[in-house]
Amino acid sequence: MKDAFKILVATVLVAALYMLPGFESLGARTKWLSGAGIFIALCFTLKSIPLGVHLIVGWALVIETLRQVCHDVPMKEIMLGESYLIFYFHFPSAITCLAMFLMAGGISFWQLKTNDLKWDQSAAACIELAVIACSITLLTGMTWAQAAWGRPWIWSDPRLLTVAIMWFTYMAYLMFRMAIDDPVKRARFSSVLGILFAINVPLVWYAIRLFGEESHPMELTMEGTQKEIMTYTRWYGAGAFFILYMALWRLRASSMRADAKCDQLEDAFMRQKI
Amino acid sequence: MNGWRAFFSLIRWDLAVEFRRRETTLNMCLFAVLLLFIGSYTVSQKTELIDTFGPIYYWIAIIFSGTVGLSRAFLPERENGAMAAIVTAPIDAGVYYLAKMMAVWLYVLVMSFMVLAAYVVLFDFEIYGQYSDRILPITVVTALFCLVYVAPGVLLSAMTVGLKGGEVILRILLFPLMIPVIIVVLSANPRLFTDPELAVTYTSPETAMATLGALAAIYVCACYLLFPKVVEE
Amino acid sequence: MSAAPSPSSAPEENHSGEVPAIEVENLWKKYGFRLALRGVSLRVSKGDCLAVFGANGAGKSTLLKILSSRTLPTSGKAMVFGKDLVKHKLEARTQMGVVFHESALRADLSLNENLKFYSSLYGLGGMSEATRQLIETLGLQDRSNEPVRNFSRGMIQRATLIRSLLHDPQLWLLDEPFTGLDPKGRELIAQVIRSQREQGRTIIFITHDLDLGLELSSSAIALKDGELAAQESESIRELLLEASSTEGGSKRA
Repeated sequence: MKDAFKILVATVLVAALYMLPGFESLGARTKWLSGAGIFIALCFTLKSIPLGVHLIVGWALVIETLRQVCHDVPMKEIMLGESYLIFYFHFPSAITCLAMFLMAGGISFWQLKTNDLKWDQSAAACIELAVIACSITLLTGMTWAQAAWGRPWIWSDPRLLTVAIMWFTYMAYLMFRMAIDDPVKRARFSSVLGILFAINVPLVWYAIRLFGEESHPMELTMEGTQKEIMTYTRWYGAGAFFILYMALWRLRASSMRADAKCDQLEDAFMRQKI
Repeated sequence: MNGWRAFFSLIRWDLAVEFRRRETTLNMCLFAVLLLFIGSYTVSQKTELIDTFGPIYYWIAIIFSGTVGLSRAFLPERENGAMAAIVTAPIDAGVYYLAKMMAVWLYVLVMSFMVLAAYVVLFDFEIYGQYSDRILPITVVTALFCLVYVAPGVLLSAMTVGLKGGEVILRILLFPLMIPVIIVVLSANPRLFTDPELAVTYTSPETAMATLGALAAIYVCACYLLFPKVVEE
Repeated sequence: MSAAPSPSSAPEENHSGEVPAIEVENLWKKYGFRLALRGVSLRVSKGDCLAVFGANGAGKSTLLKILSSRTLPTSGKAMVFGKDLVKHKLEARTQMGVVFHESALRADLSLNENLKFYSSLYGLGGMSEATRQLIETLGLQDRSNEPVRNFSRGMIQRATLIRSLLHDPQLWLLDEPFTGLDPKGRELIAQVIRSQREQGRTIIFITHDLDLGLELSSSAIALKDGELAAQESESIRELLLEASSTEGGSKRA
């Protein structure tokens, strides 16, 4: 009953925001804040759906994105031709990875506050999935760069650079986790790292923007009516991927919980033996 | 106030221990000069390469040898469990962090002074002649760079000190955190180390100093707040 | 419910109305999924000397870690001289001296320098007369300017005791002080404990040596699986013998 209520509240919230008169004319900051609000509502809503349903919904949405890419969206882009279609997988992965890294930072903070191991598992699972999204972003980005510039890696796109740096950062996080056996210590240290790295993300972003070399971000040239459908598909894909990754996150977190439970039972068994 | 007395005492005795052994600082200096030596060989005669790559080798020498010092930062305390006694003393764990950070910063500054001296010699940087007005900006930027570098480094060192392969993990964890700093100093390199007329559009030393100061403030505050969580059990 | 430990020798006077040295209520400590302490309640009056026994993994070190404020309890209350260990940690620490497994002395510094270092951490001006006397009593005054790395195990143990008593703490906590010492070294430590007890310090020590522990202490408890299992010397003896027979080893350190 409580879950159904949460879903209802989230839906009403989303609908209300979009039906506000003059939503388009609101400033960028307000749009960001409302977007964040919707985002948080979405997260809470998704947590209450049964995992199986969540997974199916996620995959269905991703397949629908694929269908849109195949049929609805213009086949050729002005500069890049057909190869630009990879953008519809590049952009959602990038958004998902950034969002999940920041969420992991928040969860890490919460873990330090409550000292409960389940938040550490949640954060670790989040970062693992986010690293996968990050890897996909980099691979699709490199493919796009190869098509657009003839070289797989370019230094002048600040967003690609930021994602690459975050990949290294969070791979280091995962390596660090592998090096510690004691779950309590691992949880505490990982949370400290999670917070530190989450602080690092905006610092990297602004450092590259303000002090980096001339930036030529890889962007699409969109015109007229095409712009609407491209923007729509782009954000639809972002939402679909995010929902799917959330489902995978829940799956991974429950697998980690099962692992921890196994360790706990093994530990109890061994102690009895002694 | 007991906090200040403890703070200065922690620094003082850290320096006393280091002065007896001198391992950390000497290792760092030797490694740094070695890196510069190899670097200077690779750019040997070609002046245009010196202009571009010289400063980069300068910063690389400082960063890489700094990790040598950082990985040894908490070794004296771990030796006999002194860390447990310090953590249960009536001082704030954050004060311990700040004291340790200042001590390590001092060692790294000594090392970076050596690096500057070696750089002047090996890369033919006329700090006594043509570039004599660069002494102050380079010194301040280097000092701030070392501060931004040491602040999270000490925290990470406390986390990795007992681990198997901890030294390698320290470096893997630290370098991504250093990327914003490196970007800032690399963009300031031309105005610091080479001909100003060539580089008007690059970052001025003042901007670099201000940015590094801000980054240092962020990292020091964040690590000051996070350190108690690292040392508690 | 707080349980006053029953004495193994002459009963203590009832200091009702005075702040107890240690007051622990329903203390739980959880490391991840493992429960190290389950609902331990304890009360130690000022001037008492409490011996803590128990098999390995029973929670003795955990209890001491919480009392020395090295770690926070998961739930429950722990107070030292009326100061809550969670809220008034720093104040409580000024009144505690702790002897850990390791000496906590910096190997490159001499004994005097180590003591100067720790004095400053506790806000003391310099070494007190009592500390100087203790150094003499323990026979370390000749070697007090040598680096600690040259000390023998027995000397290190004595030096650790001096370090822990530097700031004249009201409460003295010792984690297995007799482990790894020869009989002569053990007797020396025991003498120090006796003299400190005479001076009115509240002492809590962990030991595996049943007879020595019961002789030195005014009261004793035994922990088993994180719970307070025994408070009388006979039941403690039974518990330890039972534990040692399951482990298949001797309980003497």
